Amino acid sequence: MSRRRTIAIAVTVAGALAFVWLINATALWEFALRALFPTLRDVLMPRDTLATFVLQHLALVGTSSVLTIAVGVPLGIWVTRRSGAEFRSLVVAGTDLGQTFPPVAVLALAMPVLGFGFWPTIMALFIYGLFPVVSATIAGIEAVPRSVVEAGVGMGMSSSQVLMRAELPLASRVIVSGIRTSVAINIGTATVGAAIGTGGLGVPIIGGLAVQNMAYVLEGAIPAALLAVLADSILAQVESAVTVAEG
Amino acid sequence: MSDHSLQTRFDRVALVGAIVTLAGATALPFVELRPNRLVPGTVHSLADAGVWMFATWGLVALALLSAVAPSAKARSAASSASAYGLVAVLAWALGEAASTLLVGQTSVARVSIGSGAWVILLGAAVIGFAGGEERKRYLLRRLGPPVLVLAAVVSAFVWGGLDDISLAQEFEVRAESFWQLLAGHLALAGAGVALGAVFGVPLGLWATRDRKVRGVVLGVTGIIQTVPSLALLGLLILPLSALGNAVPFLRDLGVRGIGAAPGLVALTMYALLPIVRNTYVGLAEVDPAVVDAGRGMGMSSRQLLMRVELPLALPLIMEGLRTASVLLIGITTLTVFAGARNLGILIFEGLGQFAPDLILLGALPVIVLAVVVDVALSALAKRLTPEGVRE
Repeated sequence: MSRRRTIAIAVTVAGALAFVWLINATALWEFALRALFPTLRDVLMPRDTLATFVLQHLALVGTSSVLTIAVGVPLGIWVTRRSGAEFRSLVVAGTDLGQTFPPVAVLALAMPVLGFGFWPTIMALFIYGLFPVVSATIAGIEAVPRSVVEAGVGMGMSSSQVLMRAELPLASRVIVSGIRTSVAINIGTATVGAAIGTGGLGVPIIGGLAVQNMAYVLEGAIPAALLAVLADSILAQVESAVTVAEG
Repeated sequence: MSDHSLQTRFDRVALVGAIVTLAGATALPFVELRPNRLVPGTVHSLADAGVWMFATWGLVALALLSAVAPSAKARSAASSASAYGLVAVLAWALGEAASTLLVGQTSVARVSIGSGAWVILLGAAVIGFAGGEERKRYLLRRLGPPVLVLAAVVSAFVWGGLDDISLAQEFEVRAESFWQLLAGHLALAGAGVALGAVFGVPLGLWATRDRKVRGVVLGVTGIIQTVPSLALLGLLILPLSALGNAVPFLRDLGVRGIGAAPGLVALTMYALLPIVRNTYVGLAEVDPAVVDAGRGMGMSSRQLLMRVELPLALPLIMEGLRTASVLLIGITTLTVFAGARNLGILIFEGLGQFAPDLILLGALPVIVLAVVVDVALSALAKRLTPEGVRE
C-alpha cells in the first residue's frame, strides 16, 4: 500500500471518529448555536437528540443501500449472462430512464402507491438506488475485454469461475463507483424523508425552516453535509482499494 | 438447430410482462372511491371498468401468445400491439370505472388511481420490450402507434370519463396556480442552469490551463454535489440573509435568507459540477494535432479557442448542461422550503395533507419535465456536434 493511500485512509478514519464525537457533543452545539442566535429560546430541537437523528438517517440509508446492493449487483450480473440476456435491453432502458427521474419525485410518488412511513420510504430509496448500481454493474462487466474472458475459458475455468476471478474483480471499481453514487443520492433523498415523517436529519432542517428557527436548520444541515461527505470518502477509499487489488 | 430453439423457447420478457400486468389487474386495487379528497375510501377492482376489463384480459392473452409465437415477426407484432393496446385500454378503463363509481355520489367524492393501475402500466412497458433488440430500433422510428395511443388517451379524457379521475379534478381546481407554479419551476431551474453555465464554462476552461486550479475546482464542485440539497439550502439561508442585511442594495435585488435567492444560489452550485467537468473533459480531449494545425495557420490563442477548441468541445459541454438541467428540475422542488414558489409546493403540500392527488399533480409534471428536457437536450447536443466529428 502506498504512503498516499495510508494517509488517505488515516484521514478518513479520523474524520469518522471526529464525526461520531461531534454528533454527541451536545454541549458544544448548544454553546455555539446560542452564541450565533442569542435571541432564540431553543437552539436544539427538543424532539430528539442529534445522535438520534443521525442514527435514524443511517437506518434509512443503510437499510435501503444494503437492499440496493443485494438486488442490484446480481441483477446487473444476470443480464450480462446468457440466461438473462433477453432482459438486458429492458433493464438498460429502465435504469437509463429511471436515472432521469428526480429522486424527490420518486419518493413523493411512492407515497400514494406504497403508503406513508418508514418502509415505503425504504422501498422508494431502494428502487431509486437500484438505477445507478445496476447500470454501473452492467457497464463494468461489459467493459472487461473479451480477450480476458476468453483467456479464462481457455485456461479451463468454468463460466462462474470466469465471473468470480476475472470479470467481477475487473469490474469492481466501476461497480463501487455506482454504489457510491447510489449512497450519495440516498443520503440526500433521505433528508427529504422527514417531510413524510421518517425521521432523520431532515427533521431539524424542515422543522427549523417551518418555525423560522435557523439554529434547528444548522443542527440538521451541518451534520447532514458532513455525513454525506464522510460516506462518500469512505466509499472512495473502498473504490481505490478494489482498484489496487486488480493491479 | 437454431430454428428449433427459436420454436421451443418462448419469450420470457413477454411472459414476465404478462405476469406483472395480471398481478396489477387482479391482486391490487384498480381505483379507490373516496367520499372526499382527503379521507381514505373503498378500493375497487378492474371489474368496475366493465367491458374494458375483458379488453385487458384479451391483451394479456395476446402478450402470452406473443411469447410462444412461431416467428420473430409475429412475436414483435403481437407484443407491440399488446403493450400499446394496454396503455389505451387502461385510460378508458380508468375513465369507465370513475364514471360508474361516481354515479349517485356527492360532488366532492373522488375516484383516484390505485396501485394496480400503475402496475398494469409497468407491465405494459415490460411487454413493450419483448421481442429483441433489432425490433426496438425499427419500432422507435415509427410514430404511428404512439400517436394512436396518445389519441386514445386524449379521447378517453373527452368522451371516456377519464376527466372524472381525481387527478384531473385536482388539476381543474388548481389549473391557474398550476401553470404559475410550472412557470416558476422552469424559470428557477432555467436560471440555475444559466448561471451554472456562466460560472462553470470559464471555470472548466481555467482548469484546462492550470493543473493546480483543476484539482481545486473539480474537488470543490465534487464536494458540493455530495452535500444533500436540503442541507445546502439550509446552510445558505444564514449567510445570504446576513449579506442582504449588511448591503441594502443587494437586499433590494432580492438577496435574502428566504425566497428565491437561497434556492437560486444552491441550484447554481449544483449545476457547476456537471458543467465544469464536461467543459474540462471536452477541452482536454481536443486532439492536440488539430490545435497545432490551427496554430500553424497563424491563429491567435483566442481564435484557437473560439474557432477550434470550443466548437469541438461543444457536444460534451451540452451534455453537461443536460445533466445539470435534469438534476436541477428535481432539486428545484426543494427550494419551496426556503420560500420559493414552484411545483414543489404541490408535492410537499400534498405530503403534508396526505393528499395523494396533490402529490401526483406536483410529482408527475416534474418527472415528465425531466424526461422531456433530457430527450430534447441530448437531441440538441447531437445536432451541435460538428459534422466532421460525428460518429
